[in-house]
Amino acid sequence: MEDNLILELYWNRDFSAIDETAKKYGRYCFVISENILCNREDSEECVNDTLLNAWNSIPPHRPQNLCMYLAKICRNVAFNRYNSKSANKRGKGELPLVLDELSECVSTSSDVESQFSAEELGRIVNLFVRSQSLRDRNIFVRRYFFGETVSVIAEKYSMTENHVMVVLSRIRKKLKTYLTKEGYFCE
Amino acid sequence: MNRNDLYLSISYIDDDILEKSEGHTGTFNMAKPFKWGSLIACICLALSLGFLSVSEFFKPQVNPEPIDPVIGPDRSDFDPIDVAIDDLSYLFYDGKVYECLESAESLKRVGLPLDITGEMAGEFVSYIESVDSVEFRATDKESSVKLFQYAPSPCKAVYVLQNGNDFIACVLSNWEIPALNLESLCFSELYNVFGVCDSGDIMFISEVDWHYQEIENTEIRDRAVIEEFYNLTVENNLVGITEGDFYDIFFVGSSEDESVGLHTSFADDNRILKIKAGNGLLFYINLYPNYGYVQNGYAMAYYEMTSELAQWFASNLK
Repeated sequence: MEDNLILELYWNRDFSAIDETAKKYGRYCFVISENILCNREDSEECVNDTLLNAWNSIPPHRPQNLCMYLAKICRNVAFNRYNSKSANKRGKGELPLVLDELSECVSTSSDVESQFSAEELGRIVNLFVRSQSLRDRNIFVRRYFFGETVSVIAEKYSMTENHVMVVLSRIRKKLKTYLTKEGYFCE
Repeated sequence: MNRNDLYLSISYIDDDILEKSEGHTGTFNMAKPFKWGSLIACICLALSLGFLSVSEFFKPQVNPEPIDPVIGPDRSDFDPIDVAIDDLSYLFYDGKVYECLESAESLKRVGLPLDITGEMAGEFVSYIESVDSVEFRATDKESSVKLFQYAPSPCKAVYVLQNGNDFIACVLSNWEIPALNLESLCFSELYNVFGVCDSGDIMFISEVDWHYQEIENTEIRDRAVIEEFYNLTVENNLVGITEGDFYDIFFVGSSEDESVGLHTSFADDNRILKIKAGNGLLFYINLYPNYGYVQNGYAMAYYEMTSELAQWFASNLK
């Protein structure tokens, strides 16, 4: 079913919207959850939570891109679940590695976090990503939004894993420089 | 701000960027398609910035014919290297970051032989220590991993790293940011590290696509034209500005909507020139014709084009 028709079902408060969404995007959301949680049962619950969140938020929202709207919900739901389940232990899967990598971009001290909201930081990150070449943009997104492994990304873009790691590392360094320039850290 | 905040902030990346990453698989070796929207945006931007005189000279590629991908050499005879070296990604040496290249494609991209052997290890340079699984640094302490000059063409752009019986090429990626200084921001320093002492050390200049595949019929071998290019980049003593300063000029102060458009236009404007040195090494510079800037990615620096240099690009690039 076309996305606009699915959205109409949501707006008409027709429960079949959830079935249609699950049919079309259930597997897609599952993969995103699985990349983060590395657990089939948790990932399936995550997909259900994503569908519930979509039901609760459409309306009032009318997303231009239903697929990415669901991806963003699913990623955040999975991340919350990851945090609650791994508060006292290092989790499995790619997320611990992804978070370790991202920690290179944040300062350990002297940051000025209180002055910026998450949305503001998101806007800055968005602008940074836009300024990158198509290749670097895609590699960054596949790794840090979708949580894909380096080997999957390397295969997807016909690159060696080493090359992907080098590209990612270079982008992280640039991101840190950019965030510093934008006033996120005092160096 | 911590890493979780940064992770969550990535959720704010625009849908179109996320969606494009879904759709793009395979290699990045297609010629950039002609984009009317991007062209119009670029021209508007250039007009507003007063760079029309530069942008007039350039026209995006009208023919989006895909270039046949260059098939890499058969890797079946490519000796696997041991785990320690397999994990090697970076070498930090002399204020610069080097990529330790192992794939045939990467070696070919920088003009090196596909098989790096002990005969290519020249004068001893330094012992190397492992910092973590992907970073190596020079050390005064004796170690089993050693760095040598690249014997066929000793220069600061390429070294040979030895680990036991394995030899691997370390090729300049970029200057370390803390090590950036005025000298490293000079365009002439780029030539210096690649062993280019004068225009005679440049074999040819050509244009490549975003996957470093050469675009057909763009090779410049005319000695007079190459000499003019060299002189325009050296004699005018081009001194770059850092990436941060460049962003300040073009992107700071614009509204959110404007910024998105500006960044997209900027990325779309990118063209890449390949320079082949006399020693066989290949290096690359980025060109932003509608902005009037050249970028040296090795120093992460931008250079404002003189009118003569803009004219050179206009006359010699298709």
